[in-house]
Amino acid sequence: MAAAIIPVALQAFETLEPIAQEGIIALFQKIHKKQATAADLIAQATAIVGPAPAPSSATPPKS
Amino acid sequence: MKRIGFIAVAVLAFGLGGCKQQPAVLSALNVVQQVISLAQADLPALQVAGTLSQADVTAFGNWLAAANMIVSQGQTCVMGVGAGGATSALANCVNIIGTGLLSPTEQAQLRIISPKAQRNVTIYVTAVVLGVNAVAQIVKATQTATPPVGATVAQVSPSEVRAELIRAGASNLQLAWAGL
Repeated sequence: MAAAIIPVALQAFETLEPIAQEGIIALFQKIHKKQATAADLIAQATAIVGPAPAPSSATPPKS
Repeated sequence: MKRIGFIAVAVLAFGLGGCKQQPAVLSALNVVQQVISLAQADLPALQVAGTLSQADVTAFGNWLAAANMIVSQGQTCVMGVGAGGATSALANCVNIIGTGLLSPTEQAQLRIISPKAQRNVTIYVTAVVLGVNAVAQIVKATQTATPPVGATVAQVSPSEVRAELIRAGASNLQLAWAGL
């Protein structure tokens, strides 16, 4: 299964974190079994894109 | 007699294969449309939160509307193939979706997304592409690359342009005219 979806074309499947690779395989299997939801797709996409950048910790100078 | 039996089994197997794939493809395309609907519903909240500007909402909204239309066309194509349709015919329908998502017109909407909005837009675009690629996997269609979000044109400095022009044989006068 993994070898078959290598050309998943998310730039490069091999460059993704292992957890994201596993997630894609699991997602594709769920879709094949008609068990996937939109939330599954968005969750997997979020894992691929990565966490949101932390808000800046800079504080305004005290007057 | 044996030959007729073999042909009958082959035809039945082919038909069942199509029967299994067409509902799976339609079901998966429905999930892709749900992602698009969720993204469309999320636009006002993202704008209120300041993540997306009005221009981002317009551009990404245009992309989502066009993606929705492209997926709908794919669904119509899949339904036209029918329950017993050939895998190659279903693959053609899925390829139409991939080609549509990667059209220059569609990608142009994503290039103008502002840096602040890029992460959220990329998540939804990736989710749509993941869904389409999963559908492509079912019928062995072409995988779609995730279109780039945000400006992707490389910035070239004037000194790099000058060096390139000199290498190409430009004269000092030509460089002066070019302001380099």
